[in-house]
Amino acid sequence: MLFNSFDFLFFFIIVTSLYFALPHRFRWVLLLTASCLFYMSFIPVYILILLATIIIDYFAGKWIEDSSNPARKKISLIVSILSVCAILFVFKYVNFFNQNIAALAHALHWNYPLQALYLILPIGLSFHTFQSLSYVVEVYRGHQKAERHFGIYALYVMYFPQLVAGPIERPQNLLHQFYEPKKFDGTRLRDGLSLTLWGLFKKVVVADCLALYVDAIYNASTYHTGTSLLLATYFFAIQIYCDFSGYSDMARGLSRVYGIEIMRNFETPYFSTSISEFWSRWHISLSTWFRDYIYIPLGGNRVPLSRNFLNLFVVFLLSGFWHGANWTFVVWGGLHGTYLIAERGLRQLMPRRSTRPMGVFAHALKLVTTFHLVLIAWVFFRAEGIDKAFATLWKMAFDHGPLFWDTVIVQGVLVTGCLLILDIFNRRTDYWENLSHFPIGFRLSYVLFLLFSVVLLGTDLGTQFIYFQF
Amino acid sequence: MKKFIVGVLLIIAVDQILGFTLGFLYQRTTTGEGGGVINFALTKAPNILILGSSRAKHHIDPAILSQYLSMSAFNAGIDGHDFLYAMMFFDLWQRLHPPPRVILLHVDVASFVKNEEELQKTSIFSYYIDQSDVVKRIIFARSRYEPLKLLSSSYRFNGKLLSILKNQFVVANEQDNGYLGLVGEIKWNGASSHEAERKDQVAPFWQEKLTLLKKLADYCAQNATRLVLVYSPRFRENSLEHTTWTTNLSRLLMAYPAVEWIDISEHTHPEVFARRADLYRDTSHLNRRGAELFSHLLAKSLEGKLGR
Repeated sequence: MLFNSFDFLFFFIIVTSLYFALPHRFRWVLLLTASCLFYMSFIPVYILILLATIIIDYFAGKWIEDSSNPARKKISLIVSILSVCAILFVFKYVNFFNQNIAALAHALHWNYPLQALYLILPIGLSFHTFQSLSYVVEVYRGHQKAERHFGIYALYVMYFPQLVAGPIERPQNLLHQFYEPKKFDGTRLRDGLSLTLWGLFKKVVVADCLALYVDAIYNASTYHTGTSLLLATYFFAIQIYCDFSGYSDMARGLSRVYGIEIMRNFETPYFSTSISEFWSRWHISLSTWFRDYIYIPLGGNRVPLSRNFLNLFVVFLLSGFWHGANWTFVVWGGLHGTYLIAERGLRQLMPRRSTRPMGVFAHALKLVTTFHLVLIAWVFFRAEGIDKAFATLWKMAFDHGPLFWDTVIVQGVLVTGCLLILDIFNRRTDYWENLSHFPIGFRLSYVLFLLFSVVLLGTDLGTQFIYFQF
Repeated sequence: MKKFIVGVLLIIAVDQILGFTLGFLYQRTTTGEGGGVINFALTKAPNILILGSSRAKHHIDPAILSQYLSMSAFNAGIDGHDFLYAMMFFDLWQRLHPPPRVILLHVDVASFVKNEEELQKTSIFSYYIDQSDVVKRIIFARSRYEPLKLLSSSYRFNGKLLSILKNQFVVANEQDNGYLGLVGEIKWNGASSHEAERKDQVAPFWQEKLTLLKKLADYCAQNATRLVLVYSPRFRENSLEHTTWTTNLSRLLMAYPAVEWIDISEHTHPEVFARRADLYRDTSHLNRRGAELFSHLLAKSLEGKLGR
């Protein structure tokens, strides 16, 4: 059941109506049931995997809090992390390691008899695993009290608006909100639905339109010229942004209707003037997760520079690996790690002395450079293999020729232009957080524009979100 | 509550205005993949109406048929579509014109099989939904929510906006007979002796499509129109697949004695088409030279059938 489907629309209307009809004490039951149904609409049996994760971390949280012995606390934490990561490993990474070990064994002429496991990756496994892990770590650190109500804890992991593609929430932000009584609020409903519509616009008008060209080119990259591949890569950069941030906006908007605020996951990342700024604006919930649970425990910035570089690189390799069990994602992560190391190294060598704001030219140059560095990395993210990614980059640099023409290019350019204008406006005014400050006529025109763009230009194929596979 | 009702009414009003405006603009288009081609073809009233997929559009030259049979002909075949398009188009067409003398329906192995992609593409006819029950039935079969979506007037133009706007300034050539010969040759070194492997093996026929075929056959029987199903060559066609399909089709056509069948392929005319890469643009399409040869053979065959 995708957010961009009529099935979901009816599901949401029913759940929302019941939510406000029920007394507060029963609402968690409704939301949990709805979340179970939502998840089971993909592959029903995989709810058991989710259940296993929930049970492990629920009891781990309790044991950590109840135990007065620090060693026992630590053992509970380690057991919980290992168990949950083992589930993730089996379903997501076992074949990757198996194939690579088999390839190595073959190269060394060893006998390696293990066969591949043909398991379908449960939707959103990496997301809810990380959300669950953040709970246990926060309880261990004493930043969060262990949740005693199993249903509420299950709801924290399974809350349907953000279950399959985040944002990866923190217990401090989300858990307490399930206890707070919410009254029906027309303004909240309006704001939530407007934000959802904005996300839907990004998904079905922009991302799905660009996907038509990107898929046509990348799925047969060997037959296309560097010019077509270059355009497809620009389109992919916008596509993945709109696909993922569109989902996040819809998740936030839908949740806002219930009076439950979830974190912002994107803040116009392509307007960043450095890679570090990009990562403070792109998939914020994941980058802060890695910062808080991996980077800082490794020593953060308070270590010698060489060690700091190593930490950065490790964190980004892990981030790439989190996305998928494929060398392309590892290289993508490694590339971003390298960018950040280079950026930090340059700052050490050439510290900025002037306190004056950047000039327009310098600002534009930095923005364009940052965007193109990110663009190069996207080639690895999208390509079907490392060899194809390098071949694509080579073609983009040296092998230009006729552009593969498709009428979708015109629409793609138009909707991208439209998106950028709206994104700049939203960024400058923080529009979705300050809706009430704008005149009703303006708000209405904006909503009508988004709605009829979806109706007239929206791709009607009900395509899945890219990040569901992670 | 009052604001909510006003909001809903406003959405309905904007939808109706947009739908009306786009409908007006759409009617003026005569070219373009967004549906203008349908408008243009609906204005034609030939004696021989050719229907089918891109293989009909690029293989059957109406000028050659006219030359042999002394009847006007128009090719309403279209790229990217197949049997459903033909049936929807014909249902609209027959409301506007007297019955043609001959209908040539180009069919393929997959023409009578259920094909989700083909069904999805029928949205090209959304504008005509209130004009034909066949159009409505097929479009509603796309998904269970289609009737709901089509309550919106502007949704009928989903995916067509830019095409409609662009084609306000492009006019179709009145002399265009719908045929388009393809340029180029298939690259084949002749080394492989094996026949092409095709994945769309002979699947069972879809009842909905058979119902539409029956409707067309009944129309032809009532109006003394000759309905001829045509098959054209594919490069290195799998003979087993071809035999199985033609057997199935012959069995099906036993229920429609008035429906005729012309098979011009590598198997029926090996001396003309077999291993002739120079006659093909790709494995599914003849090039202009191949299409001319095919059209001559088809015209001769029709000449015999029509007794001319």
